Amino acid sequence: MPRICGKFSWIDNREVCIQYDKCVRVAEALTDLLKQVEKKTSIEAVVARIGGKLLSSSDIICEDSSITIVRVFKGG
Amino acid sequence: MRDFSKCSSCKLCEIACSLKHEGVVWPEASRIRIYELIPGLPVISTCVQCDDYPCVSSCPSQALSTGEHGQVLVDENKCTLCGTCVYACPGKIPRIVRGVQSVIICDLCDGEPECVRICGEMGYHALQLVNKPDGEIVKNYLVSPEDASLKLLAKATGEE
Amino acid sequence: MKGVWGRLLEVDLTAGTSRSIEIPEKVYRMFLGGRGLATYLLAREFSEKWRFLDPLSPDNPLLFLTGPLTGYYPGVKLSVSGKSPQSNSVIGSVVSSEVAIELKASGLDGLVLKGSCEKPCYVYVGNGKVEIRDASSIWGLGGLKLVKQFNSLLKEDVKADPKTPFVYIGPAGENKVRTAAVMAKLAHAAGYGGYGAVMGAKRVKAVAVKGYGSLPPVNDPESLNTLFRSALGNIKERMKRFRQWGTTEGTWHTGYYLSSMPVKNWSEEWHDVKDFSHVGFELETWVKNPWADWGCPVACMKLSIAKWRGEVFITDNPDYEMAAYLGSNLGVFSPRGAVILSSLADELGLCGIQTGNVMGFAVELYEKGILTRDEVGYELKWGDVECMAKLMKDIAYRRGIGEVLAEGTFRAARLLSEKKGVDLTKYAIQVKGIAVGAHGVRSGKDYPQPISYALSVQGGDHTSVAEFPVNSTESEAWYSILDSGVVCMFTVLDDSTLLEYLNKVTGWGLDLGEFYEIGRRVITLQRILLLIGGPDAEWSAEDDDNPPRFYEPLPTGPYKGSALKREEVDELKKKYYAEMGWGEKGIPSEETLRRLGLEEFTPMLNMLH
Repeated sequence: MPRICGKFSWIDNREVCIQYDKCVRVAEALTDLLKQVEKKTSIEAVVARIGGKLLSSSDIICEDSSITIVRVFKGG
Repeated sequence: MRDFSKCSSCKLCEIACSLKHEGVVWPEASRIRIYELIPGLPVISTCVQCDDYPCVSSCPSQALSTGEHGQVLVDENKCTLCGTCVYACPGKIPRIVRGVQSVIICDLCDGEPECVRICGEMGYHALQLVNKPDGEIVKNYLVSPEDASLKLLAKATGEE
Repeated sequence: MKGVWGRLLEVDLTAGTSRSIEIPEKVYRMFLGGRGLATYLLAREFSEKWRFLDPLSPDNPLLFLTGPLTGYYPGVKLSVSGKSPQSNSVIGSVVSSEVAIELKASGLDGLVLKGSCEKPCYVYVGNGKVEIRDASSIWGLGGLKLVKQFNSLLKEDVKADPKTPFVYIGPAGENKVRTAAVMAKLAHAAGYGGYGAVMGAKRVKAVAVKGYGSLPPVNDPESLNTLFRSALGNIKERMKRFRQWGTTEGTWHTGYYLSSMPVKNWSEEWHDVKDFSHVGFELETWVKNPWADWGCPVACMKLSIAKWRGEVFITDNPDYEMAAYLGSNLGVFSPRGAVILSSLADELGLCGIQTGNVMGFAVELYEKGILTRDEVGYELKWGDVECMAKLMKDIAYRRGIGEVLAEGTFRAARLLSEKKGVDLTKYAIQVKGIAVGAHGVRSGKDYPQPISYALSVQGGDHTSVAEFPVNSTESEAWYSILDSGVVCMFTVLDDSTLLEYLNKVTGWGLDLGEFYEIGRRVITLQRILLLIGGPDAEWSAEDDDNPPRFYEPLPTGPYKGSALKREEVDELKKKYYAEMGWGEKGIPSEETLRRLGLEEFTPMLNMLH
C-alpha cells in the first residue's frame, strides 16, 4: 500500500501525498500528483527523483516514497 | 531490412555503430548511413549482403570474406585500402575513412546488429534483421541516395 | 582539454581569408560554449564600442557555436548569435542542425563570420578548410526549391559529400528583415534575435559543413556511454506524448483553459475554440512518419505536406508557438490556415513569432483606422489567410507597408508613432525589441511570472524567462546553460543529470553551485551588453517592464478582469536585481563582476552610470 508524496520544487516545494492500494507506475503517480497541484505542467516537462535516484516513467513503486519533482522546461 | 517510412532521421544507428566499432562517436565511420538530402525523407544505406558478393570476389588481396550470418568480413591485416571493392559494389557501400585502418563494411555485429537494437529500443523499428530474400530484390536498395531522395519526394508530394 | 577542441574558425568574408582562434580551457569552464562563449567573445572584442556597432554592418560577427555537450547529449542544437538587430544585445538563438556535429567532426568548436561578401556567397567548410563560393544561382530561393538546388550546387561546385548539412536564409534574411531567421531542414529556425538579417547583410546565403573525424575525446568515455544509453531511455519514456503529438499537444488548449494565448495582437488571451488542437491538425496535412533531429529519441517533429496555390511545402506540423502566432494571434482558427502560414514563414525564412507579432500589430492598427487601406494596398482582416499571406510576403520583400513592418514590432511602432504623431507603443507587445512568446502572464495560469519577460536579458523570449529561484531549472540561468551547452531543452533531464554529463565529458568536477554560477555569469555579461545597447536604441531599468497591454485587464474568458499589477512587478524587480547582484538601476555591480570572475569587463560599467 504505497503512500507516495511528491514535492514540487517550483511551487514552493509544496508537498502532496496520495495513498495507493497497490504498486503504481511512476508515470501514473506523477500524473495524479500533478493533477492535484496544477493543470499547466505536463508530465513531459518534469523530472523526478527518489532520494537522489533519477526515476524513469516506467519504474514501479511499491513502498512509501517521497519524490522530488522539478520542472525542466516551459513552453514549446 | 529497412523501412524508410519508419526511419525518423535520428541517426542513433550511426552513433551506435561507430561506438561499437570504433569506440567513439564518429558518424563518418558508421557502417550504416542515413542520408537526409530532403529533410524529413531519410534514405537508409548499408550493405545488403548480395548473393554473389561482388566485393569479396573483387578484392585483389583476399581481404574480404563472408561470415556465418551472411555478413561481409574485412581482414584488417590484408586490406590495402586499394578501393577495388568500393567500385565492385553496385551501391559503392564499402568506404575508406581517414583514421580507420581498413575499408569499412557492415559486419552485422556478428548477428546482433547494434543499429537494429537501438532503432528498436527507441521505438522506431525501421531496421530489422531478416533472412535474406532473393538477391536481385535486395540490390534495389542500392540506388544512389540522391535518386532515392528524389523518388521519395515525388511520392510524398504527389500523394495528397 | 576534453569535450571541446579549443578552436574556432574565423572567416573574413571581405578579405576572403580565414584563421584559427585558440580558446583556452578556462574560458569554456567559465562560459561553456554557445550563448555563453559568444557573449564572452563579443564583450571582449567590442567592450565600450558595442554601443556604436550596427548589427547590420559588416563589423557585426555572426557566430555559429557548439559547446562541450554537443554530440554527447541526446539531441542537437547549434547556437547562432552576434549583436541582435532586434535588441542590440547578444541573444543566444538555437536551431537544431547537424552543422553542429559536422563542426565538431571538423576539429572545430565553431565558426565565426566577419565582414561581408560583395556578391551573394555561401560558405563551405570541408574537412576544416573554408571556401567562399558564389551563391547567385540560389539567391532568392527558399524552402524545397532552395534545398534541391543547393544540394546540386554543393555537389557540382565543391564535390560535397551527400551528407553535408547546412543552415541558410530565405528571401527575408536576404532583404535584411529584422524578423528573419537562420533556417535549417526546411522547418527549423533560429528565430529569436533576428540573425537571419545579419546573415543577409553579409550576403551569405548558406553555411554548409562536412567533417570526417570523430568527436573530441572525453574524460570518462565508459561511464559517458552508459549515461548516454540510460538518458536515451529516460527521455524516450518521459516524452512518449511528444512523439505522438509534438510539442504542440493541446495547442489551443492554452487559450481555452489557461487563457494565455495571443489572440488578435494580445487584445484577448482566451478563445472558445478548444477542440481544434491536434485532432484538427491531424486531419489536415500530417504525414504519420516520425521526424527527429540528430541523436534524439523523441522525434517531436511532425512531417507534414501542405499544398497551397499550386505549391507544395514540406513542413513541420506547427509547434505551439507557430500555431499561436500565425493562428490565433491573427484570428486564424483553422488548422489548415495555421499550417499554410507556418509553411510560408519557413519558406520565406521568417521567425514565426517575431513576424506573427508585427503582423498582429499591423492588423490591429488597421482595424483602428491608424493604418489605412491606401497605405497597405489591401484590406487587413483578422482570420483572413489570404491577406495574412500577402502581408507576410510584403514583409519578407520589404514591399509597401512591409518596409516598415520588416523593422520588427519595436521599431515599426517607433517609426509609425513618429509618422502619425501618435504614441503607438501600447500596441507593441514586445520587451526590449523582442516580441513576447505565446505564453501570456495576465491570467496567472500559465508559467510566466510577472517579471519573466520584464527582467529577462533576452526580452520577450519565452524560452529564457527570469524567475526565482535563480539557481534552479526555473530561471534564465538554467536556460542560459542549455543555450551554452548546447543542448535541446526538450531532451534535457534535470540539472544534476546535465552536470553529471558535463563532468564526465570535461573532467571539471563542478558542483551544482558552480554549475549555476556559469548561468549567472553569462546572464550578467549579457546584461551589461544589453544596457550598453545602441546604436539605434538603448535600454535602461525603465525598460525592465512588461508591454503596457499586460497591465490592462483581460476582456474575455474565465479570467476576465485579470491583469498584472504594477506594484507587484516593481517589487519583484527590486528583488531580482538584489538576487543577481545588480544595483538599484539593475546595473551589475563591480563586486558582482569580481565574484563571477568578470573583472576584466569592469571598464564597460563606465558607460552605464
